[in-house]
Amino acid sequence: MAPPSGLHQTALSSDFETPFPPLVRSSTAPVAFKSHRADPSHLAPEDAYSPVSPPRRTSLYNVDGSGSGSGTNAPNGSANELRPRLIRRKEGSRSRSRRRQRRFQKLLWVKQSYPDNYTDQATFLEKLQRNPRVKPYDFWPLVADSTVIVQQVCSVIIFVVCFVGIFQERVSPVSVVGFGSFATFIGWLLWDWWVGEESLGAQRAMDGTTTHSHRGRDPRPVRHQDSCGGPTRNASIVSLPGAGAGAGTGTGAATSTPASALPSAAPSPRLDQHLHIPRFSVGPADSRSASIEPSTAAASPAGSRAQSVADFHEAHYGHHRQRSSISSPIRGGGVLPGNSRLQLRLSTIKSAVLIYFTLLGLSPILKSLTRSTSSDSIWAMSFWLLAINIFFFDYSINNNPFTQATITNPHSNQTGGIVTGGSTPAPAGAALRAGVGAGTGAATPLIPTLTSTSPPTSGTSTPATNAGTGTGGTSSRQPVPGTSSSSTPTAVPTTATGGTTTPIPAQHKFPIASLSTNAALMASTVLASRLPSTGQVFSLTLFSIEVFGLFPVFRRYARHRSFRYHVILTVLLLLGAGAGVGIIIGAPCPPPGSTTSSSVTMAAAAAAGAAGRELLVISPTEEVIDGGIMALGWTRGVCECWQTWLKHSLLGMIVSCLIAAVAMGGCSWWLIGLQKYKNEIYGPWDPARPIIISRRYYDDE
Amino acid sequence: MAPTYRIAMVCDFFFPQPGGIESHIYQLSTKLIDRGHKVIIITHAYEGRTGVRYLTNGLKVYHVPFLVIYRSATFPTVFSFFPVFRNIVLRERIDIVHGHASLSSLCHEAILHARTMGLRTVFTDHSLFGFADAASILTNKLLKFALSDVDHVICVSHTCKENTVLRASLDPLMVSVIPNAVVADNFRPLGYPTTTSTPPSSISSPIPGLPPNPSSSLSSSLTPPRRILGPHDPITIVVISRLFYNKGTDLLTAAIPRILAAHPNTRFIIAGSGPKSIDLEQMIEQNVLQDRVEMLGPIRHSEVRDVMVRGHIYLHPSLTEAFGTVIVEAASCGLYVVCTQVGGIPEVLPGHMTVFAKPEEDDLVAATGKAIAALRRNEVRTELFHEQVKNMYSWTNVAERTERVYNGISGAISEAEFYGYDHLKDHRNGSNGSWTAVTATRGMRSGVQSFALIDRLKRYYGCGVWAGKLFCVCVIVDYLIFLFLELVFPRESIDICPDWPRKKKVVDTRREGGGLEWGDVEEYRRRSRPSRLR
Repeated sequence: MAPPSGLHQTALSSDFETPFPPLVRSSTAPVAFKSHRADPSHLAPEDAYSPVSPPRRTSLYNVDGSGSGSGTNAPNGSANELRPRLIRRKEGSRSRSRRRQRRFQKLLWVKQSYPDNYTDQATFLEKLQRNPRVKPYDFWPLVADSTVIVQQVCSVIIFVVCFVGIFQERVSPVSVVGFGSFATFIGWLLWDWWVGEESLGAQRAMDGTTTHSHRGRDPRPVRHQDSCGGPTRNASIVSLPGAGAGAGTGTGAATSTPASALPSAAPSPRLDQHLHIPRFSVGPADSRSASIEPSTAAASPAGSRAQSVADFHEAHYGHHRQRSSISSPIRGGGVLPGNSRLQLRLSTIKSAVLIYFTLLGLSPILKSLTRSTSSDSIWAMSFWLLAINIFFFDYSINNNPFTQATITNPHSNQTGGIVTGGSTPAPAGAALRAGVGAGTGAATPLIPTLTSTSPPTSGTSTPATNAGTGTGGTSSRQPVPGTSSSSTPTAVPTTATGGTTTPIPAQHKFPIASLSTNAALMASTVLASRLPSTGQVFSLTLFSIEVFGLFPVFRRYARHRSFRYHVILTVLLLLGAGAGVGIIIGAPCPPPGSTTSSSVTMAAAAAAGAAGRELLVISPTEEVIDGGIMALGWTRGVCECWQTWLKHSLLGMIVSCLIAAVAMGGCSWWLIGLQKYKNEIYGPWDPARPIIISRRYYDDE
Repeated sequence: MAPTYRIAMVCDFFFPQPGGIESHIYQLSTKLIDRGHKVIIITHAYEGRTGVRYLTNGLKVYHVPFLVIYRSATFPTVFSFFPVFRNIVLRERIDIVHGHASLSSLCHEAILHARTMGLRTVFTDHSLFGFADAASILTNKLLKFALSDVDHVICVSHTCKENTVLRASLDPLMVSVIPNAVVADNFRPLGYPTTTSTPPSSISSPIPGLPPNPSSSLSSSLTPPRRILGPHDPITIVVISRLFYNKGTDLLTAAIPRILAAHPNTRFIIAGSGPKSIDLEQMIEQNVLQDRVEMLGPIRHSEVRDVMVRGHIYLHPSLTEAFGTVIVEAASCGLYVVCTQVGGIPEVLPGHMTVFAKPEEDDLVAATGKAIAALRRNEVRTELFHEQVKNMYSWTNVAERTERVYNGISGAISEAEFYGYDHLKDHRNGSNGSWTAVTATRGMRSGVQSFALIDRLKRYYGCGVWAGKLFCVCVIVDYLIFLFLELVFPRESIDICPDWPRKKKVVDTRREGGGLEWGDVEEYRRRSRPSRLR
């Protein structure tokens, strides 16, 4: 049957000005409660999505016509067909006198000639937006993104496997920690090399610009404009590595365009106050604070916007100079890169040694920590803690080009924080929002803050931040490096760009990344307390710090360096986890050589500990060498039954690869399939998001 | 003769606490009493206010002892309010329960219990809610529960109506839009002649639809003299708001230095308090604006007018607003209004009284600049605003329109008239189609919802897969409690409270507050045009 609503509509629109008929009771009143939707008398949100069509009309008539509402609704069809004509005949004369001379408008101040509950179909819910900001997912990028989760799950599995191995005395603890430390050392070397490579590029860029150094303040915005508009975007990004030892893809460009990258670099007198603050890592701070401004200028995508950014920074630093009475002499050039690197390495080694000895001292205490608790509770507890670790881990991949603004944040925390005297660390999210607000606000307020995407720069920005935090963490000698991986500790949104000295306290965002790390460390602690000997406890705890504290930092950095490293790392982790699980489950017998080898390694560990105590200085290198020797001995010991191991590990690898493929593909496909249920409703009732240029006081209430 | 009702207004928010909802309830109740109804108010006990109180005009207030959890909203215990509520309702012989404010759990409970007891219920929504965050989702589910069985809903603006319809899945015809109002006499401009009994010229035809009399409201002999601003006269911008994030204080903080820098001879007066006031103070100190920005701190509602009349422009940077009574008050005081275009604000005032801005710092600055320029050119006849606002909004009119809602739900006017016309045709033509279905759920009386428990359960069941069942259980328990109370505290043993002598219904032909006719706006434009030539 033809829907009578059409008739209805033409009838009324010929009579009156409104193109739509008024919503009347019969069209909205309930038909029957047996219908598919629970209460058809009520407008459900899905009815409101097509703002033109009346909420219940069409579905009502469809129900009537198709007879899906059985029995009682059967005679409705004829009645409804009859009705519109009657309405047209009778209502026309009446409502002409009573109803509108004017169209209905959504105004309260005007005298409406409509009843108060009149619902105008033309304008009702016309501003409703449904899913306005939804970005559809693609399959393969989703799979690629899910590798991050796979990595974390695999590292947790490897950790658990190692624990089980130690607990069942299949594996000597020293070999575990030896391998772990060796891998950590390799990773650190690699990381150090990468950092050095990038900071070298930045240093060269800065050296090329020292001739520009001692100028006044005035021409600076112009130069900024040059630096951003003139050279390529890549070159301006390259200035970031100096900032925080980041920006991987731009490194090649850094070496190729050294001179144009940083025209207004460090030695301008405004920054000197920051440089002379005694700080543990003077060198890096120097180079960083030098490159704050160019990097922020680079953060605003168009060259024309750099002007305003530069102005903000002028205000910022001018303000700071007003505040700080220390005006230090002009200091030309930067600190030698080698010096700073050496100091950085020394500090890293120092903290490593510190951790090592702290753990060594703590492990007897840890061993008896939960003696009064039954093992079942420990297993349950560690399970939940590791689950917390997996679920709350910081998997974020910030594909936001404006994240570059945050790159400045850690460094201006170092500088500005010192000047203002104690700025509170804010979560990275707040910093990101602040940075974004500043960047876009300074650019043009019309740009919606988070919508635009520019792929080429997106990958480089975030890990740079992380690298920056990594160095910051080590240089400030935090005893547990896990906190440095959480990427939360360094950011002050306001001091970064806004120019005020108000530290916004950390609020509204729970630091979930540190929650994850802490949960994992706690899990390892309680697990370690199940182990019988001090050496085992020490090994497991140290291993857990390596796995949960340092390894995520490295993984992040590797991901930032190149996606290939990331994939290789993922595959290795996956294979390792699969092999470990296969061995643990499939090969029940402890290898015969393990006891002897463990005793040997125990002695070796004791010797190493004694040596360390005697010398009072023990470098990771020695430790690793020790570990390597032990591992060698250990492998020799267990080689008799390695064939069964190999079989089981191969099986485990295959199974794990299958499971991972199914899980990654399946979950991605599932997530894409679930998108059709996405239903976000926006409308004029939502609180507006204010766009404030000088985003000084931004936070969500 | 229209029927009169005994109405109980239920809300957590009432005097002595200040606020928009509170004054809404008070003013509406007063005007309803003036129209011959009996009104009582049920709220929770405030510090120093317990028991039964009487306010002006014989308005009786029950302060029920309840646990207050957050910002004077009571703890949502679903059933514990029932015994007291039933006692009050029976004692006062209430016909209609009218709840206010979607954050008031007292109001939701009262609606539930009132339906169990077989009373008509009305709910007035004063606020806007989003759909995204967790708190909103919870609130919306509760609202859906409370409004599943309500007879009618009143919203204060069309945006609010859309929002409420979506949040509670309501039939849009069940939702009326009745705006807030202001007591215009309390917000007179400075030097405005005190109104005599009735301005003679403001009487116009009560029949709507006739072409309006162009000389109806504007050519009043009482029109005050114009305020002519010289090019160097100072312009004062007034801001009165609680200094919260959602009131747009951040925007204000960012915009003030720029406005003051761009326009010499301007100054700000800011009244109100809140967590964001520290930001404003810092801004003042950093930009050294102490002599141009005056912060008054918290002020009483009665002092609002005295602050407003010191200014020329009212700046309202709010980020969300269901109605925005304060801008009406400002316009009534003869201030030119600059406001953000959010929520229901664009519906509230005509374009010649306002300059709209997007909720952006730049746009706000630009809009304020435009307003200042317009005032300097003497293009805006602000002295006419008061009379116009008086014609737009009045509580008498609000009470009148609310009364129509009461008539509609209690069956005094037919459902056909209340909800639309074609229904009547259906009925007359004996079509037993949708009409029978309607009667099955809505009851035999027209325009009313059935009280039968099974019908109520059907309505609640539709709230959601799990929530529907949970709500049904709640309703059943509520019904059992009701039966228990009937048994333990029988109706006969509850004293009937003697009423005040009802007021005679005032038949007021004065057209005040019904809204401005379009002709008035054209008249205004015509009259403000010559000023530009000056």
